Parts: sequence; structure tokens; C-alpha cells
Amino acid sequence: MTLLHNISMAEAVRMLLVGSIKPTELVETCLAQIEAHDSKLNAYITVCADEAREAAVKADQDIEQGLPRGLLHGIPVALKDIYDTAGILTTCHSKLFKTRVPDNDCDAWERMAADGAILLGKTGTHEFATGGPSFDLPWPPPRNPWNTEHIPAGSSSGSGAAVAAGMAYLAMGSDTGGSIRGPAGVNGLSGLKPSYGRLSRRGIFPLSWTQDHAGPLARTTEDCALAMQVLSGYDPKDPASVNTPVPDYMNIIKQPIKGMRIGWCKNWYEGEVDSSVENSLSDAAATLKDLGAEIVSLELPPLAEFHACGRIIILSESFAIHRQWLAKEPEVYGEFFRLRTRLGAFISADQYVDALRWRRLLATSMIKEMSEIDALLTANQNGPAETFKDSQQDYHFFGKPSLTMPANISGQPALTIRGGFAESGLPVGIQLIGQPFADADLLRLGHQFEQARPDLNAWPIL
Amino acid sequence: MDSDARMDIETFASLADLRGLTIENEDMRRRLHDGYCLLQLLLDQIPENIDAATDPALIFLANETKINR
Repeated sequence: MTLLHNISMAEAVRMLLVGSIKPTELVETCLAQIEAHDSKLNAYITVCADEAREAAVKADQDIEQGLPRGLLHGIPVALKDIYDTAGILTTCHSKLFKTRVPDNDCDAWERMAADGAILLGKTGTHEFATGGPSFDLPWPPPRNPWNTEHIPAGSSSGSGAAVAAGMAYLAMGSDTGGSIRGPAGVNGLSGLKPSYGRLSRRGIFPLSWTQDHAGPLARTTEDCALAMQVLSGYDPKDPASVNTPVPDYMNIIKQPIKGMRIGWCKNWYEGEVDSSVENSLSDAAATLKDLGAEIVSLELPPLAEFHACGRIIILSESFAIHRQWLAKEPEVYGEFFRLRTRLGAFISADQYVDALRWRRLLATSMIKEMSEIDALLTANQNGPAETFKDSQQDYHFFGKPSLTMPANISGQPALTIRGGFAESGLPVGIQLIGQPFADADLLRLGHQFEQARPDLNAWPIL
Repeated sequence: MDSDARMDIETFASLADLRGLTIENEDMRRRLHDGYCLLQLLLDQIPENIDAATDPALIFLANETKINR
């Protein structure tokens, strides 16, 4: 029997629609998981148990009276603790904001709340979405539910851990260089970094204005599509938000992928990643081919260039955001954050602007190279989740180049889905990158792949 | 390339001071200096002579959609 905490959000929505379950049962399921396991997983910074129970009772009544509010009515969700929530502690996992309570909701929560979602709480992150995993912050770092000696990646670490552990049916993350796709990959989830401009970032504490993206982490790609249906829409208060029609994601993902052309980009990872990653990608290409897609080889500009360009921009912009606080009281931050972010002080104005111009060249080149294909298949990560011991490096980003950075450079949508498992039993994600604003087609690919690979559907035993 | 050859730690400390950074102790100064040297390897990759017409604002024209960045 499938346990209620192991079902997907879409399954929960279908059960709510036919009345075979109530929001109060979903909320109690998640709260029971939190109560039983979060003392060792540290996924949450704040749990809104009383408020969630109260909202669930109201949702029960509304649904019984035939007054459903939206697709997510009665669904318990979580938000990364850089998403502002009115009246609820929002810390960015930092001592600097240890007592910060915003007055307003972020755009994402405004939309989800209006749709009837129920907020379970706020999840842990790397400090300000960059300084972690750290042990010198007011809250411990989240741990990977598949093996707590391993990291859940970051920076949306608590969101990844919470969904994988059945402590929420959906959690929102943010992605500036891969912070949704990293946790999705190592926690065995589906995670979408939408097209730049597709979702509003208003009310999400910035790391890098020109590369930040909001997006969902969920158990399945269908769940991500559900979330996108609710979250998408123009927000004039986010200058990057694009006023473009919202597609019918839930209908589009049901369409077959026969005839789609998929470029398989091996030059970013071949010979550089764990065999479990290479094997997962070969298996994925075979599955997509079986589904009727055409697989073609595609070589893109060197990964190291995307990585260097993106990292220079992130360091410049994040230092600008934190410069005043870093000057006044550096020790209010954790060591990793202090070390990494202060490097931005040594990037000159001309170097920053040239990095922005370089980004345009790289993005143009990537989009041009992809002009004859519908999507790109490539690696998401170098291997399964590393251990906490191995993760304690001052400058993780000076190691191997990030496989997720290119889509932050180009702004294209990028989806991580489960591709397989390493010998250790830890999950391994694979990455699909789509055409600008073809987020729905990308979700279609992911959903059809997942439908064809039920053998990959397993969850951590806690 | 040996990144440590770029700048000695004393010169780096002066530069950090000029940039208005307060560095808490010698250990943090050493570690930040390590990061500074590694950062140069990234900065060295910025292409020289990017065409002056290359405006940093990135605009997509997918489905007639424009993006301001």
C-alpha cells in the first residue's frame, strides 16, 4: 500500500477532487513526518503547525460545501526561507535576519495562498542562498533523507529534503546557478528552473538580480506543472517579469513526445562525472528514443566559460547587496558566506560589465546552437550527493564547473528529473534544457519520461 | 597557472583595506587571499575585445517575447 506521505501532489489533488481524502488528513500526514523526522533532517526553520491545521479545517469545510478555490486548494506546501511571508519569520537562514518578520507576502505565496494552498512552514537554505552547508549559523544545515551523512545539495536544501521526506507535497526554491536543480537531483525529485521572467521574484530575497529564478521542487514533473499553472503570470512589480500568455501546462504535458528533437550534449560531462551519471543519461536517451523522440549529438561552448561568467556576475551582485552589512558587522554572517561573498569586492566595474556582455554572447551562442532542437539532454550533477565532510570547502565553486550554470546564463528553462541511482542507493538526476519560454514542452518531456520509467519511483526509508 | 603567484598576502591585505573590508583575523585573511587568487583564474577567462556594440542587456525574441535583464 502506498503511504499517504509517499504520494505525489497531483495524486493528492485527484483524491481531494473525488473526496477520498481531506486537507486535514494531508496536513496531519506532513506534520507527522515533520514530528518524526525533522529533528535529524533539519529541513524546516519554522513550522506553522497551528496555522496549517486551522487552514486545513477551513479547506475541509470549503470543499465539502463545493467551494474549491483552485488547483492547490488544501495542499500543504513549504517555502524556502528567503520567500517573504507576512507575519511569519523569514530568516534567509542567517543570524542577520534571525528575528525578521516581513509585512508583505512574496508574489509566489500570494498566488499559492489565493489558490488555496496551505503553508506548512519555511525551509532551511544555504545562508542567503550561497553560504553553506554551514555549521556556524543559528540553525543546523538540512540533511539528505536518503542518507543523513550526505548533503541535500543547495541552496534550496531544506526544500529538497522536505519534499523527499514527505514533509510537504511541494516546496519552492530559488535557482541562481543551480540551487533548485542541485537539490532536486540529489534528493530524487523533479525541479524546474523556469524561463527567466516566467515567475515573479518579488518578495524573494535576492542573491543576484539578473540570474535569480523562482521555481518548484516536487515529487514528479506533473507536480511541477501543477505548480507552474498556479504560479505563472505577469507581475509588474518584478522588472524582469514578462507579460506573456500562460500556457495550459496540465494539458500540454499529456501530449506524446513523438517527433521531438533532443540534442544530447556530452561535451559538458563526458569523462568528468561518476559512472552512475553517465549510465543514467545513456538510459534516459534510450527511453526518450523509445518514446519517439529523435536523439542527436550536440556540442555546446565549453562549460567552464558559462561557469566563470555566471560566478563573476553572482559574486559582483551579491557583494553589492551585502556590502553595507559586511562592512559593519561581518561576523554576523557564517564563515562560508563571509569568505565567498567578499570576493565580489575585488571585481572591478569593467570586469562586471564585461561579464554581463560575455553572458549575452554565451546565451546567444547557446540558443543558436539549439535552434534545430526542442530540448537538450545533459548531466545535472557530477555524482550522487557528497558527504558533509567533503562539502566543507571555503570555495566550492572553484572546483569543477557547474553543470547547471548554462541555463542561468541563457535564461532558458531547465528541468531536473530523476535519472537513476548510484551503487550507494543515492539518487542521480539528469537535466533537460528547453527553448526560451517553452517551459510547458520541457515539462511534457519530463512527465512522459517519468510515465515510461516507473522503475525509478522509489522514496527514502526514514 | 599558479594562482598563488598573483599577489602576496601583505599586498592583498592593503587592497582589502582599500576596498573597505574588515577582515576579522589572520586565518580569515589567509583564506580570503586564497579565494582572491582563485578568483583571478575566473576573471582571466573574460574575453578581451568584446565588440563595443554588445550591449549587456539580454533580449530573447522567442515567440516575440522580450526580456529585460
